[in-house]
Order: sequence, then C-alpha cells, then structure tokens
Amino acid sequence: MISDSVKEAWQINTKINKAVFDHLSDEMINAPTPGNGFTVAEHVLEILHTPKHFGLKFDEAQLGALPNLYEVKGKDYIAETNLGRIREVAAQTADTVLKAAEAASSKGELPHTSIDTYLIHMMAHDAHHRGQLFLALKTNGFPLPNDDLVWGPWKNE
Amino acid sequence: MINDSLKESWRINTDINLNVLEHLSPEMLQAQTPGAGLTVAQHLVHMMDALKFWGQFFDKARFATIPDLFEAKSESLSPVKDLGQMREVMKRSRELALESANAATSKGKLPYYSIESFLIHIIAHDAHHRGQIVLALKTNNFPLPGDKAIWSPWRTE
Repeated sequence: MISDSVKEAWQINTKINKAVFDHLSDEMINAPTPGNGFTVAEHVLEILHTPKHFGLKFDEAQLGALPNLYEVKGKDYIAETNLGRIREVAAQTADTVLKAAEAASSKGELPHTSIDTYLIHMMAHDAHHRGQLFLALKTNGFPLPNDDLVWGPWKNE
Repeated sequence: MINDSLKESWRINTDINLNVLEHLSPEMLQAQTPGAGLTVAQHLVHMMDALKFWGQFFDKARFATIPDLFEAKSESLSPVKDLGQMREVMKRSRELALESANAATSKGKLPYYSIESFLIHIIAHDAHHRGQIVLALKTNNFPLPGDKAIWSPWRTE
C-alpha cells in the first residue's frame, strides 16, 4: 500500500535516526533545547511516539503493541532516558510502522490523504526534531553526529 | 514521472514554507540560531539554494533559472533581506522543481537513488531548517508560527 520511493526513504530515515541515537550518551540525554525547550530525551520521544500515535488510526493491533517510551506522573509525561531501551524501541517502531504500512489495505481513520503522505509527514517531523536536538547538543557543549551520518544516507554516491 | 502522494506532499511542504515566510517580518530575518548558528535569512536562502544546487544535476536548464538569493559582499555572501522576493522565489522554485521532476525521463547525474528520493530529502531538509528557524525566533523573543501554519497542512481534518 506504499510506493517504492517512500519505502526507500523510510529506510534511509530509519538509518539516520539510528545514527543519531547511537551517537547519544547518558550525559547528552537530559540536555535542554535553548529557550526552555525539550530535552534530548523529549525530542527522541516525539520522534518515536508520533508515528505510533497516528499509526494507531490505520492499524491499532500492530502499532498498539509498540511500547511507550514515557511514564505518566500526574499531568506530566516523563520521557525515557535509558539509551539501550530507546534504541531497542526505535528499531522496533521503525520496522513495525513500515510493515503495517505495507500490509494496510486502506488508510483507516488516518487524517492524511494516504499512508504515503503520513510516512512523509513523519519523516519531516523527525527532521524538525533532529534539527532542534542538534541545537540542544551544540549549546550544551556536546559534539554533533557527523554530517555523513545525518545527510549522507540520502545519497547513493 | 512522480507519484501522486509525493506530489501532494511536495505541495504541502511548499505551503508550510510559504506560511513560515508569511509569518516573518524583516526584523525576524536577522534573528540568529542559538549556538552562533545561521540567521533566519541564511536558513531560508540555504533551503532554496540546496534545491537549486542538486536540481541542476538532472535538469540544469530549468534549475539554473532560479535566482540566487544572496549578494556577494567583500569576502562573504550575504542573504538578501527582501521578504517579498524570498516568497516569490520560494513559490516559483518549488513549482519549477515539481514540473521538472514530473517531466524528467531519467535522474541524470543526480547522486540519489531516484528523483523521488531527492524530493523527499528536500522535504526533510526543509523541516530540519524550519525547526531551527523556530528556535532562532523563540530565543530572540519573536512570536512563533502556530501549529496551524507548520503542522496542520499535513492533515485533512
């Protein structure tokens, strides 16, 4: 139910997210974004939870089975900071979303015009949060992942 | 020839870029990204320049007609500060890219897996820079474009 180019782009985007999550250390995970913004862990939660949030609307069974990377305390959502757990759920989420998208016979209740559009929206959403996550790292004195890892996967040269 | 869902995503992404440009004032263009990063104007010029640079690898005739939005000043390149011109070039260059991608019979020398991958990369690239533009505005105490401007266009609800 998805086009080959969107599938390929999803796999590239998954590779980029993995490179970013592999780059993170325990010291980096609580770094705040300037302007009282999200911590690195909260950006990661946005990247991993949003595809599930929308994905439930076309495949509740598969997407609903994905673990949540937050704990609810009162009115607050506390983002997971364990990097091993983050990497494990990231791989599982990317793989499950792709399989569910490929298997879907309709877009169900998804508020996008197609599953392809939903996936492209999620890739843009990831890139928005990666851009802000990098600024959280930079302004807190941490090194950034190499450009080859963040942009290189899009190209085949 | 590119598929309909990607054409639609391209148009959505263009609308979001134009919504951001509509939100900006000349004062906001000079706001700098935290961590001694790019100004808002430099982000926008880079977004437009990236499309022109890579697009020429498969359709030099069309993409070369996109105006450069920077002025050579002594030893550095300064972005133009005319918002009207930026809006016009953003709109026209994105329309031109879609026309060109749709008419292309091969990817030429483009170092991507396909023209479709290239367009999805540009969508992600734009989102990365919009995320940083939002932070440049926030940390310089300017109002932000709302969710309606930057996220709602992806959804039909």
